[in-house]
Amino acid sequence: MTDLAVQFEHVVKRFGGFTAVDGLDLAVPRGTIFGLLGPNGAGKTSSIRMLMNVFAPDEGRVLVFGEAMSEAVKPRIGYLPEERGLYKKMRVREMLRFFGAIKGRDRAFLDPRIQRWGERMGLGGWLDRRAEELSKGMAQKVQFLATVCHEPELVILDEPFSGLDPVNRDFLRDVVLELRKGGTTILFSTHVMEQAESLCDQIVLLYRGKPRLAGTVEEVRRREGREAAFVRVDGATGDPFADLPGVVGVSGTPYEAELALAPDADGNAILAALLGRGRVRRFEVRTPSLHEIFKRVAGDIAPREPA
Amino acid sequence: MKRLLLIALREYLENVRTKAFLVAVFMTPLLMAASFVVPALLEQKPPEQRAIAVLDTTGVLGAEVGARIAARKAPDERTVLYAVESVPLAGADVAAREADQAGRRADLDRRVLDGKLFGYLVLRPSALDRKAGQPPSEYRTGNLFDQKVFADLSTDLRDVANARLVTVGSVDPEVARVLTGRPPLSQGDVRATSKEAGIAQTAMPFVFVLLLFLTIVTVSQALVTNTIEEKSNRVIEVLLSSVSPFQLMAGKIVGTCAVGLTLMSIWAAAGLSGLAMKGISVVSGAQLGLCLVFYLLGFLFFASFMVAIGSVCNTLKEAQNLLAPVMAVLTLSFMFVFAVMKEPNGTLARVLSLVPLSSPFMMMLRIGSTPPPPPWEVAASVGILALSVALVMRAAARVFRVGVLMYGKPPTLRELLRWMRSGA
Repeated sequence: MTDLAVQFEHVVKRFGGFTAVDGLDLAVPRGTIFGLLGPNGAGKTSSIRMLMNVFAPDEGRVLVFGEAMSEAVKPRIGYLPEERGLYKKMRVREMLRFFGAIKGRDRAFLDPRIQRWGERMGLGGWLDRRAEELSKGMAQKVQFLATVCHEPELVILDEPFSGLDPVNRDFLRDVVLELRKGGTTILFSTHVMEQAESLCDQIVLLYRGKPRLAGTVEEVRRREGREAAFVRVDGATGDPFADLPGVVGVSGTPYEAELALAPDADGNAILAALLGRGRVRRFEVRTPSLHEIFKRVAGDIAPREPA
Repeated sequence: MKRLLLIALREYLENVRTKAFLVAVFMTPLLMAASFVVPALLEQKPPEQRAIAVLDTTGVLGAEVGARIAARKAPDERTVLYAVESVPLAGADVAAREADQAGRRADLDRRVLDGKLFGYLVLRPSALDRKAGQPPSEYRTGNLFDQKVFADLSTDLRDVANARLVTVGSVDPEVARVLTGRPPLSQGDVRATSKEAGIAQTAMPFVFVLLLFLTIVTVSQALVTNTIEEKSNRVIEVLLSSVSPFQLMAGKIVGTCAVGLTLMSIWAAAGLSGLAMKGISVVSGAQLGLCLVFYLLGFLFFASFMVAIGSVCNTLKEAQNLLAPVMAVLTLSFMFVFAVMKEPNGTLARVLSLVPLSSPFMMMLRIGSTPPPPPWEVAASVGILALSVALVMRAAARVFRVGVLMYGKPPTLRELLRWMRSGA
C-alpha cells in the first residue's frame, strides 16, 4: 500500500503534432491538497483526463493509489470535470442517489449525507426540484455534491472555482479544507493563483505542457529568490509606479500594485520615491505572489496600461 | 453488472416517465385504428354528385342507361350519386349519329376541363352485338383515378344491354339471368371459427410486425437523443468516472429495451384481452415467445446502430444525417410486408427472413402465417440474427468508447471504420 494517492511518471500526451502535456512528474501524498496550476491551455485538463483514463498517455504512466486506473478504483474517486452538467429532467435528490449508487453506495449511506450537505449548501428546498430549474450557481453546487457525497478517498476537481461568486468560492474553499481534515486527498486545477496560494499543500505549475515550478507554495516562493513590494498610493497626480528604482515589473491598478523587484533593489529608495508622489497607505516587501512568479515564468509580463 | 443495471434503471425510468411515453402508449394504437377506420368512414360519406353526359349512337340504349345511372344512390340510400344529362344526337341511322357525336366532343371535353361535367359516356352498337373489331363504347373523363365511376357505368351499360337482348328475343331470359350472375362463394380462415375471428387471424401477423416495427423505431431513437443529451450536458465524463464505457452503453441499451418491452406488453395485453372478450383467440404462447425473442434481438441490432450514432454526434441535426440510412433500410424492409404476407413461404420471404436487417419483421410475419415456416428456418433466422447482434454490438461498443468523449465534428465513415477495427 502506497501513501501516494496519485502519481504521474514522466507523462507525455500529444494530439497530432501538438504536445499537450510534456514530461509531467508529480506525486500527491494522501491527505493533502494538490494544485495543478497554469493558464488556459497549459495542459491541466489533459493531465486530469489522463488521470481519469479518458485517454491514455503516449509516454509514461499515471497511477492512482499505486495502480493503474480501473473499474475497481473508480468508486474511491470523486471527479468534477471542467465542463459539467446534470440530467435536466431528473430531480436533484434522485440524481444524487444515482450518482452515488454507481459509485457503489446504497441509499442508507447516501440519503443522510445528501440531506446534510444539501442543507449546508442552501439547497434544502431544491433537492426535490428538477435540475433544469436550478440556477447556474445552484447547479454547480449540486455537481460538487455529486462529486463528494459518496465520500471518496480522492477528489479530483477541474477548475472547481470557475463561475462561482465570492461567497460560494469561500464556501467551497472551506469545504475542501474540511475534506482534507477528514483525510481526503484533493487534486484540483485552477488558473487563478490566489486560490492555489491559500489552499494548496503542494503545487505544480504547468506552462505550455511543461511543469515549470513544483513544491509547496512556500518553497516555490522562496526558490524564486527575489522579493516583491506590495504598495498602495492614494492621491497621486500621475502614475505613481512609473520609473521606480530597482522595479522590473508592475501589476495591479494605478493605486495598488505588486512591484517585482530586481535582486539588488533598495526598498527604502522605492519608498522614498513613492512618498514624493502621493499618500502611501501600504508598503510591504516580501516573497512575491504565485501570480507574479507565474507571470515571470510565463515570460509575458505585460506592460501596465497607463491610467 | 450492478452498475450496468443502475444505468439501465435510470434510463428506463427517465424514458417511461416522459409524456412522450404516455403519448406512445395511447396514441400509437389510436393512430393504427384510425388508419383503418378513417378511410372506411370516408367511404361512407356520400361523395359529391357527379355530372355525366350520355350520348347514344345506338338509338335504343341511351334512355335506359341514363335512367339506371341516375337511379344510383350512395350507401345511405338517400344521396343521388349522378346527375345524368342526356345529349340527343341528330340523325336517322347509327352512322349519322356517330358523325353528330364526333362534332360535339370538343365542346364536351371543354366542359369536362372546366369542371362542369365529370365525364361523358358514348354508347355504340358493340354494346349489343359484342362482335370483335367494332369500336367500343367510351367513357371519357378528366379523373380516371375514381375507378368507381367507371365500374358503375360499365355495370349499368352491361345490365341494360343484356336486358335489351332478352326483350328483343335474341337471348333466353333464364340463360341471361344465370350467365350474368356470379355463383355464390364464401371465404373463411380454417383457423377461425367466426368471420370476426377470421379477420383477426388474417390481420394478426401484420399487427405483430407493425407493433414490432413501431416499437423498435420509436424506442431505439430515444437512445440517440439521450446519448446526445448526456454528451451535450457533459454528464458523460462523470458517468465514465464511475462506470466503464461498455457498462454505460449496455446499460442504456438494456434500459431502453425494457421501455419498448413495457410498451409492447401494454399493447399486446390490451389487444389480446380485447379479442378474448369477444371469444377470439388468435395467438399461441409459442408465437408470443418468438415475438419476444425477435423483439429482443431486433431491438439490440438496431439499438447498437442508434447508440453508436448518438455517441459520435453532438446535436440532433448531425444525428439525423446518420440516422437517415438506417431508417431507410428499416422502412425498405417494411415495404416487403405485403409481398411476404401473400406468399409467406416464397423465395423472397425466405431470403428476407434470414437477412438480419429484415429478419425480425419478416420471420414474425411468417410465424403468424399458414403454413408456418419450418422450425429449422426459424432457428437459422434467430441464429444469424444473434450472431449479427454480437458483431454490431462489438463494433458499436468500440465506436461508443471513442465517440462519447469526442466533441467537435462527427467522424467520417473512414474514421468510424478504423475505430471499429481497432480493438484497443
